[in-house]
Amino acid sequence: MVRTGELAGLSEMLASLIESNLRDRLAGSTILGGKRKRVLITAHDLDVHVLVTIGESYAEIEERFDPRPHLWIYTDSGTLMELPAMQLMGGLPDLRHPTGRAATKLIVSGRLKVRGVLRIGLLSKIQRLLNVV
Amino acid sequence: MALFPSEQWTKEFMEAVNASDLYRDAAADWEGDVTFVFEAEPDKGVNEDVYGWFDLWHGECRDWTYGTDKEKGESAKFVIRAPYSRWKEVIKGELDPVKGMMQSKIKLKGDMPTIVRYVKASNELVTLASKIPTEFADEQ
Repeated sequence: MVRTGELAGLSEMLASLIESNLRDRLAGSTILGGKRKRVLITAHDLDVHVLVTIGESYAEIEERFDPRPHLWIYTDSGTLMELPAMQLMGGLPDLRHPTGRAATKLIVSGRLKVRGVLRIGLLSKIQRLLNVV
Repeated sequence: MALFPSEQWTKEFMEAVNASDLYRDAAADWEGDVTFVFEAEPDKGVNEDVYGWFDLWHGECRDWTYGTDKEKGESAKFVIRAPYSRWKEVIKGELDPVKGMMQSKIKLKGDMPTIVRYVKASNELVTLASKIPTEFADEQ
């Protein structure tokens, strides 16, 4: 886990979640394998962009905008904090569980926008890196 | 009406917490003491940092102290601190505490995944705090 630049508030919170998961729940997993990919997380009400780069053997987090991420999660800060608390199955929201079904409602209502959603593998990775359930 | 911050306000707050079914459900598995630090703002009537310590356990408050000494306060599993006027915004429902943490207006020391897991409980604490008839230190 690499922190680049000054992190505070939201970016520090996300860094803490990823760091904790890599240390505990995902220790020894292959989640950091594969080609280097960039995930941009935007909390539009705070005007904050957090860029998570998932590399072959590391995750890097920095507070900056990236114009061409592989995956872009765009939402408000309240919704963003609901995402880590969703029940997952295979790294994606578990539709058998109310918190998993909530993801669908958030997308349909427009509160949560995900560009690059077809990159299922990357979406699964970032969900697992941030998940607290 | 209870003055914030004060022992009387803290007592009324904890009574409300222990009477709340919503909080009991939302924090049913919570284990760990929490310290709230109301940081001094002398120009607003709060002359020194005030520590409030709460032993929160499985949806209830088993014990609490107001005006806790700094050493005990800082040794809690979770320490949440902000200037007095930020707490006032939280109690008045003008600032969501988790959003406040995202904006660095409120500082947390403790395990972040646990805090995120209990966002509902945190919201209920704020709702309960906002219902206490409160007189603020800078409005006396």
